Amino acid sequence: MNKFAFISPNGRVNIIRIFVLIALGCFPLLQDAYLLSQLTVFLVYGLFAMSLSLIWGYGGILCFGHAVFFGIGAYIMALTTKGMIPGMTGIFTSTLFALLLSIAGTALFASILGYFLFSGRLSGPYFGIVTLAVAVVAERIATKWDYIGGFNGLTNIPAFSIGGYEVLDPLVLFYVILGICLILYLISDRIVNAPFGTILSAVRDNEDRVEFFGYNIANLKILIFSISAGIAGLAGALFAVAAEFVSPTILGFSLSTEVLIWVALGGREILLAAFLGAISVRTIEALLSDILGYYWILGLGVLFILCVMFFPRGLFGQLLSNKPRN
Amino acid sequence: MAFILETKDLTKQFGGLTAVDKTSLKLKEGGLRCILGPNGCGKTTLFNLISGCYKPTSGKIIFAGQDISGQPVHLINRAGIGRKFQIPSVFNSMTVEENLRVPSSSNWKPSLLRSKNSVPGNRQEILTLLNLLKLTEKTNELAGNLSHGEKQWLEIGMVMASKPRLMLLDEPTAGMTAAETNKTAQLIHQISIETGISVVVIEHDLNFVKKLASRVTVMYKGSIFREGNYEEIQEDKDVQSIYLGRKR
Ligand SMILES: Nc1ncnc2c1ncn2[C@@H]1O[C@H](COP(=O)(O)OP(=O)(O)O)[C@@H](O)[C@H]1O
Ligand SMILES: [Mg+2]
Repeated sequence: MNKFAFISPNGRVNIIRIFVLIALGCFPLLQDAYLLSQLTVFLVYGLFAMSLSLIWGYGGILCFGHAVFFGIGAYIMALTTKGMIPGMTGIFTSTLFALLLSIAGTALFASILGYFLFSGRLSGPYFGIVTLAVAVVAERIATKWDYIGGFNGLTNIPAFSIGGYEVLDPLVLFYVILGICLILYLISDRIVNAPFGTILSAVRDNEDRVEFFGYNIANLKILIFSISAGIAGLAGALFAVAAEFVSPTILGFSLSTEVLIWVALGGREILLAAFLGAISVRTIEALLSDILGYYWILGLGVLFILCVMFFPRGLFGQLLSNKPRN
Repeated sequence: MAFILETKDLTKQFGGLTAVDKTSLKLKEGGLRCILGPNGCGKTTLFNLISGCYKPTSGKIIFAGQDISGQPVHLINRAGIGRKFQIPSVFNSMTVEENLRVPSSSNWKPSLLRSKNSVPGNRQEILTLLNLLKLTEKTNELAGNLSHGEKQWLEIGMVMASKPRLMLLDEPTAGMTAAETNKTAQLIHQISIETGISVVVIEHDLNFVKKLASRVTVMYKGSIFREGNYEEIQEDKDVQSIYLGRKR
C-alpha cells in the first residue's frame, strides 16, 4: 500500500525536506543568472502560498483575496524604503525596519478585518467573497492613487540592505530570501504542530464541536488570519525587493486566484506542499508559457481539474503527509 | 441538597412554535437523569438552551448556583457543562488521540509554539480514557475511519476529557446495534458512578433507560409530562398512550 513502508512517514517527510533544501541551495550551480532571478521571485511566491496553506489548509478558512496582504506588504516595503512615508527618514527607511513594518502592518490590517468578519460569524463562501471584494477594492484604490504610483506602480526600489551592507549580488539575495523562507517555514511548522495547530485542525473539521469545548472560535480565527496575513505581507515585501517593482496587479483578483491554484495543486494541508506547488507551477509556466502562449492557461486549468479529481490532497500533499490515509 | 442544574419556566419559541414550554427541571449534583419523549417534543432544543446554542425566549437556567441564561456557548462550557451532539461530532481528519487532546488541552488559549509532545499530564489521562472507552487499539486511527458506534464513544470520551461537572448526552445510542447500546449503557453508568459527573441523557430506547436505572423525565410537546423511576414511568397509562403506544 505504501511504497515507502521501509521508513516511517516522519522519516520520509524529513528526507524530502532536506532534499528540497539541498536542491534549492544548489540551484545557483547552474550558473544561469536569469533563472536564478526568476527562482528568487518564485521562492517569494512559495512563501506566499505557504501563508495561504496556513489559513486554508490548516484553519479551513478559504480566503479568496489573499493577495491583498501580499500587495499591502509590498507597497509598505516600497514606500518605506523609498522614503515616501511622511515623517519617516533615516533608520526608518532601512530594509529591516521596512520588513518589520510590512509584517506588522498587514497583520494589524488582517486582525481588524478579521475582528469584524469573524465576530460577525461570517464563514464559508461568504467570508471568501468578502475577502475577494476587499482585494478588488484595494486594487482599484492603488490604481487610482497617484502618490503610490497609480496604474504603473512604483519602481526603483532600493536594494536589500543589512546593516549598511547592500545586497547587490543576485546570488546573495537568493540565499538571503531562501534563508528567510526557511526560517518562516520552521516557525509555521512549529505553529501547526503546537497545541494551537491541533485546535486549528479541529476548527477546520468541526467548528461547533470546538466551540462547545470552551474555545472562543472568533479569537482563534483572528489569530491565525493575522499570522497568515503577516507572512503574506512579508512575502510581498520580499517580492518588492526581488522583482524591484510593485504594481496594483499584485494586490488584486488575479494573484489571489493564482495563489489558490498553486496551493490547491501542491496540497493545501501541508505547508511544504503548498510552497512546492507555487514553485513548480511558476517554473513550469516559465518553461512552457513561451511555447504554449495562451494555451498555457488552458493547460493549467486542465492540470487543476485532473489534480482535483485524482490527487485531492495535491500533487505533493500525500507524499509529504505523515498521517494515515482517510 | 444542592442542585447542579435548575431550569425555571424555561421557554423557547421559534416563530409561532413553542418548542420548549415553561420547563422547570431540577437535577441533583452527581445525579443521572434520562429524558424521554417522542420525536420533536423539544428535547434537543432543551439541550440547546442549556448549552447556550439558543437564547431562551423566557425563563432562567441556573447552573451551580449561577444564572447562565443567554451566555455564549464557550463560556457556558467553561463553567462546566459538556455536551455530546445527537449526530456524532468528532474531528474526522484527526487521530483518536488528537481528538481527545482537543478538549483536554483546555486552557482555552492553546500555546502557539510549544511542541505538542511537550504537553505533560494529558498523556496519562488520555490513556486512561482510551482504556475506559475500549479504543486503545485505535489510538492512532483517524476518527473518520471509526465505526458509527466508536465515534459515539469517542465523543463521549472527548466530553469527559473536557472535565465537565455536568454532561448532556443527546441520544448517545442513536443508530447503534443492540450490543453497542448495551455497552453504551454500561459506559454511562460507569461514568456516573465513578466520576461524580452529573449526567443528563436524552434517550429513545426504553431498554436502555431500564439498564441505566436512573430517574426519568418524560417530555411531551415542550413540557415536562411526568417524572419518576423506570417502573413508574413504564406503568403510567398516560405515558403509554403518548409515547409507548406510538412507538411499537
Ligand atoms: N432552529 C430551529 N428553528 C425552528 N424550529 C426548530 C428549531 N430547532 C428545533 N425546532 C423545532 O422544535 C421542535 C422540537 O425539536 P427538537 O428539540 O429537535 O425535538 P427532539 O430533540 O425532542 O426530537 C420541533 O418541532 C422542531 O422542528
Ligand atoms: Mg433531538
